[in-house]
Formats: sequence, C-alpha cells, structure tokens
Amino acid sequence: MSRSVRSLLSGNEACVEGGLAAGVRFFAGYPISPATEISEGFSQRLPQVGGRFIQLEDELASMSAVMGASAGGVKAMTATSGPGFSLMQESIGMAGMIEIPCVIINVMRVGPASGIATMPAQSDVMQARWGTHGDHPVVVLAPSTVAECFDMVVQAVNISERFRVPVIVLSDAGLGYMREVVTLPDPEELKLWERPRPKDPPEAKTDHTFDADEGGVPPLADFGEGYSIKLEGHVHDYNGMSVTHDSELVEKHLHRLQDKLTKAINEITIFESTGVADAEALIIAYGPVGRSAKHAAAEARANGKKVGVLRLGTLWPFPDKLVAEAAENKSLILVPEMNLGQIVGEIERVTRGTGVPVKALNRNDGQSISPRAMLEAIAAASN
Amino acid sequence: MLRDITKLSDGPVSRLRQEAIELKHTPTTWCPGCGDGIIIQALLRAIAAENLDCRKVAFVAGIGCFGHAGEYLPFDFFHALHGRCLATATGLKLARPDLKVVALIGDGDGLAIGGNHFIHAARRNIDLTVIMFNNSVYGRTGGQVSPTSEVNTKLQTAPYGSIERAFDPCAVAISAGAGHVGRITVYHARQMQIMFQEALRHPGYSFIEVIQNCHVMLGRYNDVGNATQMILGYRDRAINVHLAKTLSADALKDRIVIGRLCYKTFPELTAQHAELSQRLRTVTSPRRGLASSVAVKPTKRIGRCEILLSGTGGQGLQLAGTVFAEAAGILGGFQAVQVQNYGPAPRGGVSTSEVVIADDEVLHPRVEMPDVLLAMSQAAFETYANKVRESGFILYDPMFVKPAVMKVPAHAVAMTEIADQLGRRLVANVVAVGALAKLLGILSIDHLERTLLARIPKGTEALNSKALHAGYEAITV
Ligand SMILES: Cc1ncc(C[n+]2csc(CCOP(=O)(O)OP(=O)(O)O)c2C)c(N)n1
Repeated sequence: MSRSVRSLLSGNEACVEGGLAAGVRFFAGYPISPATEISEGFSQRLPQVGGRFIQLEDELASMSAVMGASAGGVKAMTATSGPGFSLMQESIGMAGMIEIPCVIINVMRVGPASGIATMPAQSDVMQARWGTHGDHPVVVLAPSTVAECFDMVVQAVNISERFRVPVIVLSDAGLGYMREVVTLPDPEELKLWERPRPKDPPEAKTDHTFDADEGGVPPLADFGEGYSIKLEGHVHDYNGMSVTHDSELVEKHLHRLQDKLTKAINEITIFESTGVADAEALIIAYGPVGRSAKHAAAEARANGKKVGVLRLGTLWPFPDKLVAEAAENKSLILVPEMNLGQIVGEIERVTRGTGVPVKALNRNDGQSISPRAMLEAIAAASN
Repeated sequence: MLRDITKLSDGPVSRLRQEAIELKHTPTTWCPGCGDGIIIQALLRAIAAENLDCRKVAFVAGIGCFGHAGEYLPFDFFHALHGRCLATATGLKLARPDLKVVALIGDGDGLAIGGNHFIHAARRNIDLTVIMFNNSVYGRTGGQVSPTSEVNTKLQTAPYGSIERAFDPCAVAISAGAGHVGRITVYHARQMQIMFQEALRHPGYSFIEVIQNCHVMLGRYNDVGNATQMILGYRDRAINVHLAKTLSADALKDRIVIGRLCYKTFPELTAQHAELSQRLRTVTSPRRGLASSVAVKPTKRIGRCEILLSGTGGQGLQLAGTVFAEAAGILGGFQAVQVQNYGPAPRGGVSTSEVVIADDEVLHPRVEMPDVLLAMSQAAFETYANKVRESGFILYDPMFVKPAVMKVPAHAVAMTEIADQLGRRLVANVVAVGALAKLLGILSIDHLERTLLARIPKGTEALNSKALHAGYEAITV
C-alpha cells in the first residue's frame, strides 16, 4: 500500500522532506532568512533517523563539512540565501573539481549585500552558474511549486550522486515561505540514483580502478573502504594525483567535467511545456514566475490568443536545443524574470539569427510578476 | 597497491619511506631539508605504533607546502581548500565517527584564513588529531608574513620587518577549549612521535603545534642559517614544560616550551550526536495540522477563488488563512496555496494572509483581485477594498472599520465583540472564519472545524468551536 501523504507544507518544509526522502543524512548550515526553516527542519528530523545535523560557524564551514561528509559516503546538503551563497562559491567550485556529490539550496532574496531578507528575487541565476572561478561544472534546478521543491530536491540529490556534481536548487523567499497543499509520495516508491562505485575491490585496485565510465563519470569509493582515495582540489588525474605541467592532462580533465554533463543533458533537463506547439507568443520562465506564466497563457487562450509557456526546471546546463526548438516560428518570446535580466541573455544567444524577437520583462522589487503584467507586455510588443 | 603500514616496523627512516610513501611520488614537493618530511615520518611511526587499521585512518589537509603530504601517503585523503581543513574534517568525522581523522594545517592556513574554524573545532571538542606545521611563514606562496611570524621578521610582504605581534597557536587552542594541546619542534622527532601517539589516542580534540624550519622562504631575508642550523637552534631554545613551570617569564624569553601544555577531557561531539540519535530513535516529530493519506474528490467545481485576510498583527489572520487552505486542500479536495504577510502592505503592523483555492493547479499563487476580503482594520479596508473583484464581497469588523460605500457587497460581523462575549478576544479570527465560510459557501463548516481543532492549543477546543459556529450563525443571508 502506498503511503503518500497530503498536507499543507511550505516550500522550505518540502525541501526538508525531499532531502530526507532522497536519503540525505547529513546537513550542515548557518542560519539565514529566508532559508533558516530548512536548517531547523533538518535539525529536528535528522537525529531521529540516525543522521547528523550541525550548525557551523559560517557558510564556508558548512559547504566544507558537507563535502567532508559526502566523502564519507553520506548524502549531504546545505541551504542558504544570497550572502551565504556568495560565501560558498569557492567550495562549490571545489565540489565540482573533486566531483563530490552535494546539494546546495539557495532560497533567493532580493538585492545585493544584505538585500531584503524576506523578499524574493531570481537574481542569483548567473551566480549559480558562474559564481566561482575556473569554468566549473554545476547543475542548477528551479522549482516553481511547493510540490516541486520536494521533487527537485530528490532529483538534485539523484543527479548529484549519479553524475558526481554539485547541484544547486534555486528556491526563493516567496516559494520558501509559501504554503501549499501537496501530496508527497511514499519515499519507498521513489527512484533513487546512486553514485558510481569502483568495480575492483580495494585489494585489486589498479591505476585504472578510478577511470571514468563512457559518460565521463569516474567511480567514487567512500573514505574508510581501503581504496586510499585522493580527493584533490588541484587539477588531478583519476587517481587524485595533482598534475601540474601536463597541459594535455589538464585539458582532458577540465573538459571531461563539462562533457559529463553535456552527455547527460537528457537525464538532467527538467522542463514543462504548455501549449508551445501552436503558440504564437511564447513565454519562457522558471521558478514561481513559471506558474504565473501558465496562468497568463490560460487566460490568453480563454480570450482566443495563442500563448504558450516553456517552463524551465533545469537552468544549467542551459537546455539550448529545447529552447531553440520551442522558439521556432514564434512571433514573440517573452522572458519574465524577478531580476534585472539574466536567463534572457541565454535565450537571446540560442535564438540569435532566427529573427524571433525576445523581450525581457523584469521586476526586481521583491514582488512577483503578475499574469496581467505578462499579457500586457505581450500585447505591447505585438502592437 | 595499498600498503599495510600497520606492518611497518619502527625501523630506519629510509625503510619507512620506502614502504609507506610510494616511491613514484618522490622527490616530493618539499625543499631539501624541509621539516615537513620529519613531521610526516613521525606521524607514520605513530600510526604504526598505535596499530591503527590504515583503512580507517583518513587525512584531511589544507593548502600550503605541508598539505601535499596526504598525496604521498597510503590513506584516504581530502586535500581541502586553503583554510577549510578543519571544517571539512568536522563534516567527515561527524558523518563517519568510525574513522580516525588526522587534520594537517599550516600556520597561515590554520590561523589566518582558517582561524574561525580553528577556534570552533576546538570549542566543539570533536575527535580530530590536528597537527599544525608552524614554519612562521607562508611557504607555498613564496615567503609572505604569517600570523605566527615574529615581529621584525623580513618577509616578501613585510619588507621592512613585520610589525604585528605573532599568535601563540597553543594559547589560542587552549582558550578556545581544546582539551589536549602540545607543542614540539622538528628537532625532537622521537618525542614528536610519542606526542602524536597520545594525540591519536585522546578521545577528543587534540592539537599539536610543530615548530618547523623554513630556511628557504624564511631564510630569504633573515639570517636563520641552513636547515641543520635552524633545527639545532630549536634544540637550544627548547625547554620542557615541566621545567618551564619553575622559571620566570624573563627566563623563558626566546625559549620554546615543549611538551603537553593542556590535558582535559570533555564530552566528545560525535559521541554526543550518537547519543542524541539513540535517544530519538523511536521519536517522530508531531505534525502540526492535518495530514491525510486519502485523496478526496471535490463535490463541486469552483474555478479559482482568491481570499485576502487582512488586519493587524496578532489578530490571528495567519491561522485563519491556514485553516482555509488546509480545509480546502486536504478535506475539500481542492488545490490551495497560502501566502503569508507579504505584499505591498501599508505601514503599521498590517498582517495579511492570502489564500488561493482552485479546482486544479493553483497557477499564479498570489491574490491579485480578491473574491473575498476580510478586513479587520481600517488600514486593511482602505488598502484592499477597491481591489475586490466585482463578483466578490467584503466582510469587516465594525469595531475597527468604518466602511466607505462600495460597489461590492460589504457585510459587517461584530467578530471581536462576539469573541469578547465568548470570553477571549483572541478567537475573533475564528468567528471571522465561521462567517466567511457561510458567505463563501464552498467549504463545509465541518471541514473547517476539523482543520481548526487540529491547529489550536489543547484545551481550547470548546471555545474555538463555539466561536466558529457563532460566526457561522451571525450570517443570516
Ligand atoms: C583562498 C585562497 N587564498 C590564497 C591562497 C594562496 N595560498 C596558497 S598556500 C598559502 C599560504 C600557506 O601558508 P601556510 O599555511 O603557512 O603553509 P606553508 O606553505 O608555509 O606550509 C596561500 C596564501 C589560496 N590557495 N586560496
């Protein structure tokens, strides 16, 4: 019998449920609005299931501890908001470099520096991709509903484990605090992906035990199994030995980090398309703005106007092909974002030369973008 | 192949190096005469002498010359970011208390960029064996000033001699709460091994500072001599902690006090976590509010209904919103969203709760044009009354609201007065829920009552039920 449960949960609470259901048993964090409830939830629940929660001295420590725990073979995550997310950047690059699975939830707030702690924005989209140095690999997901907070945290853990890559979930203050009636699936019915393991036992370890598979993902053993594994933040070979003067090896390593995600693009890309095929105007949106866009499209359809929505669940790696195909022959693409214009640049890049006009609709005052504003923007552009 | 260093004898250094350090890693990154090798060899001897299972020994290091040690050794190794060794080690140890975690830090790595972790790891008393390679200089980056560089040392970034006073790492560790603290120098290789063994055995946070020569980087502009001269200098300056206790501060000037400086035991962090987990094994947190495993089908279709509850903080509008959302979503079979206290609110403690109920997905999650407005303050009325949809209505409390003439119906229910009569002004919100339920007609009063009773403090059930029904009865349309 299925043990799915229907209840009223906030986005932050759903993130906790998602993490637990995905098997996360380690959480390290530092309090910050509007993400604090995620830490609080884990602090209450993890000890009950034999997991470990620790509040550390800052976000630098939190991300480092998460990586340490993951090296021990325990699924690990953290949650923060803008200021803390900035502090985590160096470590996020580290996680990409040593290919250690971990999940970071950023419950976005509006504005730089301290901004406004309890007001939402989508202004960390580019930071999530490019916030740390060195062309690192990263996957970024953006949930739009409370139910999706659960689903995407599960998916984030899955992707992170399977492809050995840090996965960032971009929630926001609106979604984190919003409460919605959701039906959570029975955790036992969830499909969980595991990190690839070495085929050779520790005694039989060779120089090739940690070579990558066809997908470009090398196996990972836990600390304590006897493999004597090296997690090395410098550029390294499969055995974790740093390579300094071998440009060929350096290039091979850094390219593989990106290639493994390109190869997995179909498994990584989450999206929802609503009335895209016959639409004249297309709205491309993500996060809670994505659901408002669907609202706008439904209203437009009710009035005989063909508006479609491509809602991006995966923001990075950016789904070029998906967007290019959706954009074909549209008379207009509207990109509403709660920031000063970030993902719109990617859409312009992908549609360059096709003649399809791309129009940004931005709001960066902590308020959501209403369906009416989207419809007005479409009408204004069509005139 | 993994080598079993537990089989290593305490034999000649050359043999040790051959067996434990894979030869392909030599020459190491370290300069000839560097103290790093002496420290690592003492550590290997200590691990062997303690008979530790090398599969269960994990190394974590920060960034600096010393940090490369882990690459050469037959243990699991995490080469963490500059300064983050102790935070990384904390995560590893907490997740895997079965591992013996050895953390290698430098003076710059551990006390400058990683200073915050240095004090907090000590405070937490987590079972780590922490070894600081203190060469009083940033070696890796070519000889810049470090938090342990002595005043007047000439360095790449202190070309006129360093001005700032140096840290005493052991004093910092002790004052931060470390239980087991010791200092030694690279001259004292044998004693170092014994101190490492004690540190490995100590069931809590251990910190050993090793004073180490860097004749290359420190020696660049300072007359420190060659490696041998520097190391012999440590021999001459070292004084045992017991002897040091009998001497005056003056006599101890320029001396290096070596030995165990502090030994105390405190409850250990990972053990405390394990204990907590054991205690909570059979506990599950009580869920607030309703939860249901049965999917209910709504009895009618309502399209989309936007409810805005507004008044003053403390009037219980969030609870009212929650009750609507939960009753609609869990018992009524609709979809429901609640957004709290958010939006363009006028100043002055205004509290709003938005609820959107729909047959299918709630798309836009915000109330843009309320079908229903509950106004429990004049400010709420003035801000939101003119936004109500033409087909909608307003419910207000005449104790707080003097309504303007509106195009939409406005119903007055003396909710606060009714609550006062019931004996608790606090339940005015519940009276409002009852009245709204009647006016709205899409949620059953039964469902609302069940939801409400699952949310309120024990012992107030009768009062709340009464208030709910009083509100319901107050509407006579
Ligand atoms: C965030 C960051 N800042 C600066 C550096 C550059 N860096 C590498 S090692 C080092 C100093 C190491 O000094 P210490 O910890 O004393 O170790 P040593 O090299 O002397 O053994 C610095 C500043 C870095 N790797 N990362």
